[in-house]
Amino acid sequence: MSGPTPPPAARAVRATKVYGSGATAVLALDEVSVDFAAGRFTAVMGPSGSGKSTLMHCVAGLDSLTDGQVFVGGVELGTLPDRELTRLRRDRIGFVFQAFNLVPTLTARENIVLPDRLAGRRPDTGWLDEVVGAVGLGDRLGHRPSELSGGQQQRVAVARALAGRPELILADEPTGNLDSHSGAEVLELLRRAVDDMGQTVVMVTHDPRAAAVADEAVHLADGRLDRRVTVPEIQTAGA
Amino acid sequence: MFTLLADTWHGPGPWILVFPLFWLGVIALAFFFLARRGGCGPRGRWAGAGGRSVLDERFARGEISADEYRERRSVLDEGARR
Repeated sequence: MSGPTPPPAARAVRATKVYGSGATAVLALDEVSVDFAAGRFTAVMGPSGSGKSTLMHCVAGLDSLTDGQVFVGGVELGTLPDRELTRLRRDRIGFVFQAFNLVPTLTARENIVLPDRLAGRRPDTGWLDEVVGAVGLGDRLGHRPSELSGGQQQRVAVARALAGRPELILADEPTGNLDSHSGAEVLELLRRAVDDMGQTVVMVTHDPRAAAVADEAVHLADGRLDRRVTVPEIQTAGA
Repeated sequence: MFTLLADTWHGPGPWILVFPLFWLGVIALAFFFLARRGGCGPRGRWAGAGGRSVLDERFARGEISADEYRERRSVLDEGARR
């Protein structure tokens, strides 16, 4: 928050999450403090059970912390009433999931504009054209998800996340259901969202090849922040 | 016999008004509950579409999983067909 660096898009401060209580309590997050810089692509890595998904869910406002704080765009999620939290999630965060989460009865294009439509916003057509162009689906935009390949479906999901021009895009194992070729296309689209469209992406993954596309990787182990590394091929250290 | 009745029957008292009021109340309640259930006419269908879009939105934001989405959607669709 000090000096010329812009405030982070999201941050966790001593984030602690305990599931259950007593003898069966599980410490999923143990005082994790991390900043997710605006306009950057950050990967959150770690083996299953390391707490990376829990961290993601807490940053997304899908789950609440036991102790500590999570901020999105300077707003602390823990203090928000449910209605405000829902609005923040709708207005400021775009989501991409392993299972795509596309509405099966809508076409690709309808899925992309769905959040705008449900929020009662008029989509910015110039932006939407740019997003739709970047997805590279061409004439398949009128197809339903079941008529698209997994990679195409996930690109539609990325476009849906981008359509509302959120402050933060959270991607939870976006390549987890895809072959390596389709996965690479999805990662390239996320990369372009950051480089060409100025978006902020935080991606949970256990795949080092996926993380290599990011600017930096945050490693979690046993619910603790293990280490934070910049990806040298893309970003020189010390930025 | 008739004279006897005529002698004691002096027409209805003011309590007779209770009957139409009672039935009016019953009809009003019946309409109220039918409307709330969305059981008749286009209102019912509209309520179904509203429920679906809430469901779609929650699914898109990851608040419910694909399995939950399918399950709840099928319940809504069943309700709309009925």
